[in-house]
Amino acid sequence: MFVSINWLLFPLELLITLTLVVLVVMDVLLPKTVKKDWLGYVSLGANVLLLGFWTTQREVIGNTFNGMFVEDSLSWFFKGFFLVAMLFVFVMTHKFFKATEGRRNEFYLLLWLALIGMCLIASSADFLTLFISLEILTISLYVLTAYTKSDKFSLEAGMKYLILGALSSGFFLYGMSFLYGITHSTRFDVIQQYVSSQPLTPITLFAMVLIFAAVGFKIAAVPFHMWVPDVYQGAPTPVTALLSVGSKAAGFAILLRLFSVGGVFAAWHFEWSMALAILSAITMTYGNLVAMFQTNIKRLLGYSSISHAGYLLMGAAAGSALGASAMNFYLLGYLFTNLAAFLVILLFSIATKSDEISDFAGLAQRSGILAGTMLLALASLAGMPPLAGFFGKFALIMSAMKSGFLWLALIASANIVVSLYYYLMIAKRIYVDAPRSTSPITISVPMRTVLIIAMIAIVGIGIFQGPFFNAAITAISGM
Amino acid sequence: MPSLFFYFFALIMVLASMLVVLSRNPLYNVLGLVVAIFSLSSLFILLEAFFVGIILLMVYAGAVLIFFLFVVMCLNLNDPVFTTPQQSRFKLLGWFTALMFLLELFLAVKSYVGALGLAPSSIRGTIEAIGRVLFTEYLLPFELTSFLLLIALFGIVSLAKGALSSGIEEKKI
Repeated sequence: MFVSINWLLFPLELLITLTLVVLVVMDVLLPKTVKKDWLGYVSLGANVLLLGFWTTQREVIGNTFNGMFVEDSLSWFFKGFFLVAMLFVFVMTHKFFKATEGRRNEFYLLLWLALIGMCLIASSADFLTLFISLEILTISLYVLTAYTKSDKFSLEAGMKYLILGALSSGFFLYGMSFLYGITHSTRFDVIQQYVSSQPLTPITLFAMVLIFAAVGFKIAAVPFHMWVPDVYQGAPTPVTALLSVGSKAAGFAILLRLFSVGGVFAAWHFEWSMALAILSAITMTYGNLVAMFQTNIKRLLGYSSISHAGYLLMGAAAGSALGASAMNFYLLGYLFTNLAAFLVILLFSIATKSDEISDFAGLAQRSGILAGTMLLALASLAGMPPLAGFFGKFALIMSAMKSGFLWLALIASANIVVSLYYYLMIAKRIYVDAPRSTSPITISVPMRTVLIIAMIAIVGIGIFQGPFFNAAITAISGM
Repeated sequence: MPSLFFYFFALIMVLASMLVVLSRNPLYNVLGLVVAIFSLSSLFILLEAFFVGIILLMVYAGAVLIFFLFVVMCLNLNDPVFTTPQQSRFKLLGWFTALMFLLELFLAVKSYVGALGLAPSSIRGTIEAIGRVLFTEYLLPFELTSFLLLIALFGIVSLAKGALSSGIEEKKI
């Protein structure tokens, strides 16, 4: 038996690998006297070029490696998503290392490896490939989380993430082994065929729950969320941003492939949707209630990201095409919103060495653009009307209602009101409270540009939803 | 006859695993794990998965656990951390969760046995057979593991070299 490999299907992964190799070789060959700033510039440049290349890949559809690797509209959508997220993360990393003396070589290399992992997750059509791609992403994130060794919070966060992550990988493998035992295959299409022809039995339910536990860990849904606050707080801010957007979106890419319309377990959706709906309700309520009492901004955004996982699960519970495309759209808005918030947090903490919410008091008087971006990001996270977050939440709630989960829609609406409280409390601190120190925070022109781009994206996606929602719909249409 | 061996090794494995969890002496924990891995590899060999069985022995029992043993030997075993039993509020919850999980597993497996023929694989688990499968059917996942090795390399370099603090240390030297 021979494997036929269609090399034209995965040029993006090959190019990312090539970039990685070039970076490693340059790192070794360049003399030690060269400032390490080049790593940031080369990474950013390569990322922009890759994004440009990605736009040409839309029509490339098919599968290879015996159907283990698939290129379709969903993987195309998510790869672009990850590339954009990475662009912000590279900007943040560059800024981060300008302020912190230290070794940055491995940090960039691990970020590139995380990107490879995310792209492979989006393209996996086989449980084994998916598992290994997932590990590529997660293991590089373990190291990145613990990267600031001098900071004990960072080490603690890395350790916690490692232990809980290993547990969730164990769950995934265990569930996968049951499925393999039953269907004699790890491939999605074979398992999907089995699922659509057989009723749900206890053993398949068991396998499905175990696999969901691992996905739940990635997206930070409630019984599997324990790592979130500590890791978000302890990790270097660029890594927190990557965790909250990239890693979470990768989890949702898996969720869409496995549990959503056209997914592997789609045929059992009826039996499964109630569990998803309950989980969604618990996740959003828990995230929002605990977020209210936080004093550290990164921790607060950690809990807020749990609650957003809850909103997003509504789309999965709905199990309709509308639900799935609403999830995609919501993620798109969440990408810019959350990255803008983390960029502000990073710039603020570089200037003041603090992540405490109380130190944000009077930020508006110290830096108008930081305060403005944060306000916009918080308003969008809360779901205020003209911004990206609003239409996403609207679409998700509508999908839940159309699938008969009226109670879930009501809980979500109540949650949005609760979340408004703590998001706007921060906004109040920034704009109304008196500043502790009046020294202005100066933001460089490139950073200003990035912040403005993020702001334009938050407002733009909210106002001109049409093309973005269409992109979200086409993403799931090819599954 | 093979099933007799199966029960024999399975029983040893369960007992050894319980020793790992229940014993308060770290030395017994590690040795229990060695015994558990030995019996696990016997189970694989009974299933004619020779390669997996041997690899398990060499990598786990041979390399990883010996490292563990070295670390344990470096610990002070008279430290009260090891000798005083710890009370946890979550003990009851832990037992409950474990029992629920076992019950679910039991129900799940019960529904499965007999539903499908559980014949052992017709391919013998030799190195040749595994190599053939790895380089044909599972080529992609196999190649992807190279990324994992790369991450391990970078991870070790960054964590062992002192990551961010190293910049300062290097200057001192």
